[in-house]
Amino acid sequence: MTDFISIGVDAFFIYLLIGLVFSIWFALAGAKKLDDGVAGTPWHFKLIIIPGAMLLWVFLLSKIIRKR
Amino acid sequence: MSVSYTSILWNKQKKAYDIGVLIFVLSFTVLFFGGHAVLHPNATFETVLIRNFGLLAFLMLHLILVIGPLTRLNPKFLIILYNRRHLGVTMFIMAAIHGIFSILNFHSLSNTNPLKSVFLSNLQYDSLINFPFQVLGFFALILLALMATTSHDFWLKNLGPKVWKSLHMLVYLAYALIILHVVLGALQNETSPILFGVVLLGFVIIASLHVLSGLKEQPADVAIDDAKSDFVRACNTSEIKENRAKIVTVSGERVAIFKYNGKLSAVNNFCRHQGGPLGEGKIIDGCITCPWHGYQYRPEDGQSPPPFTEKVETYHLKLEGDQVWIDPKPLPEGTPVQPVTMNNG
Repeated sequence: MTDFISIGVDAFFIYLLIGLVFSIWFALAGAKKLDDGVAGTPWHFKLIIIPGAMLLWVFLLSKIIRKR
Repeated sequence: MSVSYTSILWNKQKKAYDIGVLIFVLSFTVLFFGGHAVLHPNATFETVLIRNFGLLAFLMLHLILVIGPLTRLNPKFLIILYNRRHLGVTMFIMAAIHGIFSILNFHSLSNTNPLKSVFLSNLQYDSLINFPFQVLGFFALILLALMATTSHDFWLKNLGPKVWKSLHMLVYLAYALIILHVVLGALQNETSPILFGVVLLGFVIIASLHVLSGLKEQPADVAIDDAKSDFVRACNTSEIKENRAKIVTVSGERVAIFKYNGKLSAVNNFCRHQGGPLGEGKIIDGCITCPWHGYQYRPEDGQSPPPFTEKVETYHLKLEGDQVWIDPKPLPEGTPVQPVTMNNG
């Protein structure tokens, strides 16, 4: 059980770490590919979508790939 | 309604709402710390801080959960619904402070990763009395984080209304986890029954208001059609007040039939902004206006006036004498439909 929990927590950290890298790219460039309304938005808008993108990066990435 | 996004679309009402929330948080914190200094002078600063923000988040969650049913029971409560998103985000911040300081205070003094310590420091998962209640709080915090970070129109649009709504319905799961977190935590640390009584009272209030508002809305939720029907009778024209709507359920969707200027039009009841009930709004300046945040749609095509782009489904109507009939098949969002003209205006 201890090993199982330990692996789970490590996986969670890795998920968030990938999410952090993705979310920075998403805020700077990726969101525009998904939604035209993002073009020209102020920096503080880009900042507030980072946490959500970090948590939902799998969903967003698949959506961007499907849109392509 | 905005064409391009910004972080927060401030207006006078939102500012007043947020100032109210801030005053509540600050007053509560001052009173809580003051009360502890008098009643529990030996409590450490960290302990009081953890308790303060945990209790604040718990209270705010109760308020958030009763806002929906209260507004359905009485529109006067719309004033507290107006900026519920900011209330939710504030509640998450309170919960996050509680969670972070709890982890720092109780799990960061060993060599074990603090987050792993939350799960591993107490392994009595098979015990009710000694269950590691902090784990439940952790999962609740993750759910609250998902909701708080997606509390913006950008997410509503890009996740889609149904996914977004489903995601935000997780608040009930978070509430259940928090109730267990509080009760199991209290079982291990509290001897007084007061806390259990207060938690139970909160649950009873939330459950009762949901049941009452559900009973009030039940008639509108009874489908008036079956899968095969063409046009079905919805209501009489006299049942709809001028510039208002009658809500009926067809094909599993709530539809608002509006009466205005001697005409009738039907649109989907679900506002594309935050899911507000369009049928409880009214026609203002020729547009259906959502009672929650004032989003507008033209009744004849379900489209927001330019430059805005929100659209809802429209429906065909017909009149037989005084009776209004509706085709249960929704037309694609924003489809123009000739309004039905009433002879007697």
